[in-house]
Amino acid sequence: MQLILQNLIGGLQMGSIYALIALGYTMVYGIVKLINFAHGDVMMVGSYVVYWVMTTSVITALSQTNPAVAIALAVLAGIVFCIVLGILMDKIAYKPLRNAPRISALITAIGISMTLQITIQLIFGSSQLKFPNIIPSIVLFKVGRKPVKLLEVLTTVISIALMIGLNFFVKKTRTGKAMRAVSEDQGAAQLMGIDHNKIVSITFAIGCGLAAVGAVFYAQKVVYIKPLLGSMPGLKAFVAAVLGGIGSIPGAVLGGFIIGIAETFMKYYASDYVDALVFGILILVLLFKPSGIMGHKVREKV
Amino acid sequence: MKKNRRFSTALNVVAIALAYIVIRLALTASGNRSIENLLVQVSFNIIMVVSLNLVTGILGELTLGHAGFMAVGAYTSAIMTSLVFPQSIAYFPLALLIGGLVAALFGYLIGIPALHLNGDYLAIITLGFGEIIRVLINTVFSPWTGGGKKMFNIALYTGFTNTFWIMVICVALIYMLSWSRQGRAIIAIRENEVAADASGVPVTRYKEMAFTIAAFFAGIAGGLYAHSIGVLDPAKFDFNASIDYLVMVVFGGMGSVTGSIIAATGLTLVQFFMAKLVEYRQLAYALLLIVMMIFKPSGLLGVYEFSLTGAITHFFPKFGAFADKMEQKLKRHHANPIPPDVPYYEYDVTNNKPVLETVDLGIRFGGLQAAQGVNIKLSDNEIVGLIGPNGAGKTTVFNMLTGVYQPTEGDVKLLGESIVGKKTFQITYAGISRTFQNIRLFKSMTVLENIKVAFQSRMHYTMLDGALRDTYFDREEDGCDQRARELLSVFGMESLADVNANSLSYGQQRKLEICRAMASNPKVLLLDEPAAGMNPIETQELMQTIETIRDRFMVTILLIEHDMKLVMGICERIYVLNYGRIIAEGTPDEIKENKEVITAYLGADNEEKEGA
Repeated sequence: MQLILQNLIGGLQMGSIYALIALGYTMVYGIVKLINFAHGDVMMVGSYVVYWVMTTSVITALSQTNPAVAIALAVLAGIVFCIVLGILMDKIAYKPLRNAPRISALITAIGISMTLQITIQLIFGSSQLKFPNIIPSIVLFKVGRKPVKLLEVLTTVISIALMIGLNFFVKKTRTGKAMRAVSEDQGAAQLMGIDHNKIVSITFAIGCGLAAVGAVFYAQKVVYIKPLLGSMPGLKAFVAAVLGGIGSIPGAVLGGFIIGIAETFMKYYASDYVDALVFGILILVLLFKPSGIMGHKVREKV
Repeated sequence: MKKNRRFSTALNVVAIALAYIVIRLALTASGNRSIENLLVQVSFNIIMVVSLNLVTGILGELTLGHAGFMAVGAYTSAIMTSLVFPQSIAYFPLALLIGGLVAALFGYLIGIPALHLNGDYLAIITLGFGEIIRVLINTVFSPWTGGGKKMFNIALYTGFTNTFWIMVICVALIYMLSWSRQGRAIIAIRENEVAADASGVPVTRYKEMAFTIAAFFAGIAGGLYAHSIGVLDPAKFDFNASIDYLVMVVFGGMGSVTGSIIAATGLTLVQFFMAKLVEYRQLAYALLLIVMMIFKPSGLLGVYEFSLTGAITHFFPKFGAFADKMEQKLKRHHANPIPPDVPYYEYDVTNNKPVLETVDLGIRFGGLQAAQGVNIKLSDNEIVGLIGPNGAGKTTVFNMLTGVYQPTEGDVKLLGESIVGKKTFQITYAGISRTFQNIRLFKSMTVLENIKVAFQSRMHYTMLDGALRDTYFDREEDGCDQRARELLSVFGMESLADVNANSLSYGQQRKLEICRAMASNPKVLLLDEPAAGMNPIETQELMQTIETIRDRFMVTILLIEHDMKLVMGICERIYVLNYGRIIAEGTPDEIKENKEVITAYLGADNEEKEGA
């Protein structure tokens, strides 16, 4: 029982990170029907930006006197940078391809993913860097012999809060309604006077902003960052989005938690096969319920 | 190009042989081993890129794990030469072949689940499998592969000569395949999967075939790689390696074999000379991908092929005439071309036994009952209309008849036999063919090829016949050509046979679609809004065409149409569908008078007042 509880806490932490990233995949897919392969790399860039800001002299000086403000500024910089990156990515690379075959958009996504990885590698080098300690390593309580740290609790709590906020945004605000309209029927939404391109930009912005938050928690958890940091969690978050039903926001959250928890348990019992498990889940989902847990079945109109 | 053009082929063979001799002499003269290694690398990269193009360009499915198959071939052949066979280069070809076959086996197994998916999902799943192959090499197979510690001391059996000729053979085989009935089917799937299915192409089987063949050649390339480097490291076959090859395919043009050859050669040389600047090269590749997708998504050559004869003609116009004359002279004439099979329907259509009959047919999508209790009976050689307001479920009925949707209730009997549960291509083969509301042609193909796709399930030559371009291949292709032209002439389109389908006018495109549907020799022809978008003159012409088809081919025609002049003009009977149910049936005159039909179309009197 204790063992289950311990793994569950670790699983919730990983699950919330996956869910944050998966939201970006699922929202972009919902609006533009594109799998933004570069999403995991946006997260990676976010972690490097936070790292870089934390090591600048101004912030280092500030963190001596007022560490909380310094950290807040660094995290904020990471989020803003990712938002801008997301919007630019869409405007420069994806927008010209809105009516192109899907294979073109997918190839472009791969191109962006590589561009981000290599650019970071050229700037920061390919060796791993130690991510600064942003969240103090405090043990809050113990489950059995396993100490539960502030980071684990904070990750889960903040992520869930963000997801509730996002849900509120999409359900209750005007912009949220416009987003849902575009995802239902782009053409009809445009006829109703919704600026499609603006909605796409907002979607990329939100997705990438959430990825930046995920980046901070993920980097804090793995301690060392490297240019390839984003690819695996990115892929797993994608699997989470597919599992939950791509295009569905609650689906992405659910999928994220399922993947996170399943992975944590697997790590405990057979750590060599964690990745195989995740891809195994992907294959099974795609074979038996391609629309995922909460997605809608879409047929090609004949 | 698709036919046996012997002069062109001879010219290409001479050019390749000359290229070989020149390079061989230059290599011998310089004695530079590193240049030879580079050329070996160019050769196996060409095989990799051309084979990847078979899936990504010719079939049109993006895969991201092609390097995985290369790894399988590399490790298998290396294990063969170093652990299984005696140490002799004589066993090298056999080792390569085994490597290719094992890679093909992997491709086949992976294809079974993966190819049920499309587009993005296929890409992700192949990426996953590519990584899993690498993990397997590192873990389960590590006793033989050395795992992450690399596999050393593989015999260096490759040289420019053997690699070059193996490359030429591999490329020639893939090229021949892409211009055979099998290749046509694969291209048709890329152009329009739904239409390919409806033309009798077993889509999944051909996808699986293309995927397996591509894996086979990647395995051969892997074997060459292993025996030219001498060391195998699983990390070399990762996602980035797959992407490198993808960049080459995209750069050369997805769908063009010659484009792939040019891109593989050029970019391999770039890699060689930028070996010290790996990061900048990768950055350049990544940016190249993005920029190409925006400005020139078709790549260097698009889906077109470079032709030596064409290139020479470009500079020396007289050469073209000479080439044509030579082709005529060298052309093999076969006294007896073999036309595609004609199906034999063993069924008594007299005594008004229905040709096609639906019994309480219905379908439910979740909570929506889209059609219910549909009973239609079509007799031999009838023209019947299926009309109804928008959203009445007319196309849904067509989709159930052709296996695009599986009905949830009732039965469909074609010539007395139930066809429920059969796949679309099987139903087409059994005798129902159709056209689509929104025209679905194979746009990059010529008019003639569009028709020939529909013949492919009634032709017999094997892939081997196609690869060898033997007599049987010639005879059947000739017969198929003849039949296709005959069919086109019925529609007055014989002069357009060699025109690309996408340059036809709208009316011609509709006609071609009907013509293609007739090519699969149906007993029942379903036309979905054939007159949509036509002007009155074109519609008039279409009415005549439909009647001609019925009289000439003895088919039963069921058509959906909103143009009442057409429906009332040529249909002998009419079914009216509303809210998924048949509300009336009868002759055009009966239908015109039917109260319920008038209500369905115009609304009842009292409703009209309320609605207004």
